[in-house]
Amino acid sequence: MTQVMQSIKNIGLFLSGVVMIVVGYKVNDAHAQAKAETEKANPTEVPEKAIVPEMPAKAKATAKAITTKTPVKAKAAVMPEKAKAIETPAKAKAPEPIEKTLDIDKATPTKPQTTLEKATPEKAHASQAKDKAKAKAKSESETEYYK
Amino acid sequence: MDDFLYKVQTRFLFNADIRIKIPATYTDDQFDILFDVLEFIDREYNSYRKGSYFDLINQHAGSFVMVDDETVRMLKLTKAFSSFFDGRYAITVMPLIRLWGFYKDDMHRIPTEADLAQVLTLVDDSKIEIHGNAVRIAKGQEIVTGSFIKAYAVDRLMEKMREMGINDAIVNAGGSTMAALNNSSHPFWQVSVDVPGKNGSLLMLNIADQAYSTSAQGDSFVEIAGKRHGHILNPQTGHPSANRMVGVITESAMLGDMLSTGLFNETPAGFLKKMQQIQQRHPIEGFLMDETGQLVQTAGLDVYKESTYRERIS
Repeated sequence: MTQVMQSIKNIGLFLSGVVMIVVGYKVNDAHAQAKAETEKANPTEVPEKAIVPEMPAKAKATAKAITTKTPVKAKAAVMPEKAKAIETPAKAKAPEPIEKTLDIDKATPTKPQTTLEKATPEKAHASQAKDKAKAKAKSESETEYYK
Repeated sequence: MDDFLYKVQTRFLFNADIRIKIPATYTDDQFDILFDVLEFIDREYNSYRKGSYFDLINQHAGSFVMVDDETVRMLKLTKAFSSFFDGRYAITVMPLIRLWGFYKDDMHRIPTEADLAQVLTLVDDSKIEIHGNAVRIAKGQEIVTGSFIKAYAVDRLMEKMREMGINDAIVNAGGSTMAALNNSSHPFWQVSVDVPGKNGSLLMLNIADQAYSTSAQGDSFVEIAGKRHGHILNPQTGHPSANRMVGVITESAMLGDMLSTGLFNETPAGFLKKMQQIQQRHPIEGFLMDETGQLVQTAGLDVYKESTYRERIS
């Protein structure tokens, strides 16, 4: 009889252990899910900062050099070294993002054609009108105004 | 000489077809190097390009902006010619162009005298301040490089060609600016000057290591209320000039472009007087066609005309 009771006890203990493991697993899972949802709702800002494009280098250097209140002569004396020092290396770095977009352009098959000609006379005329259609196709609604 | 073969490539820059013609012995990739020069100038100095030096000056009108030596050199030159033409040449003409609606094709209108008077106070190159490399234009002013930047780029291109050892070539920048390089086996290039607005050739000029620049109304007029208005504005009056064409032969394309634009706003008598004054400092020959089609020209232009040129060099 005592043995039977002991066995029942052991089984009970075993079952309660199993139940606790299952409950523990479920609680853990629920936590993990809740965490994932919170992260989804409030993404961290770090990667975004890395993507934000930098202000063009030349503009940056210029912005530093620009002052509105100082009188003209004083400004000319103050500006040189600092502004120039910033401007030169920055200009070399600036085109990086632009070059990436240019790569896309280069990928399109627009290789300029080379033709062979003799020393024929060149035609001189007012350029604006003849190139208007091309210019329009290139630059949306505004027409660049040249001589 | 007539049997020489040349390679030609045309690309669209500065709102125009730019044609470069070099001897056929050069490889095709040389064109990339040459067009890179033009693209660099377009990117760095064209007022229409965002981030260019002139764009920055415009964007910060009223404040000083640091620019490079080349921008300062260009500004000093244009200011000097604006003063020489008593304001009839001005690179601060952009507010006037906007007023006439020439910048946007669909907005052409005749401005009122009150509007003109207001805008003309902004069209004044003497208000461009230069202190070392710091440049400032007055608030409301706007520079447009359209009257010289393409030609400046062509001058830089010719320098590059000389560096590369090219000594026989011609560059045709949109028909309004040409520059030639010549050697003893090919002593000159021919330029066929078209009648403005028509297909016929007015005259044939021979240029050698020189530039030919033209300002012409041609087809480039705008029609407002049934009346044609030329697109070249006189910065002094605020109205388009009535002349039909000016052509000049000079040693530098930039000089030629600035001068042909300024001279376009002169009367025939004023044209000849100005040409005499310029000739004291620069070798230049040229002609003006007024609104009636009458031509006036400098005496030395005949030397470059096809008929006399061949006699001279033979």
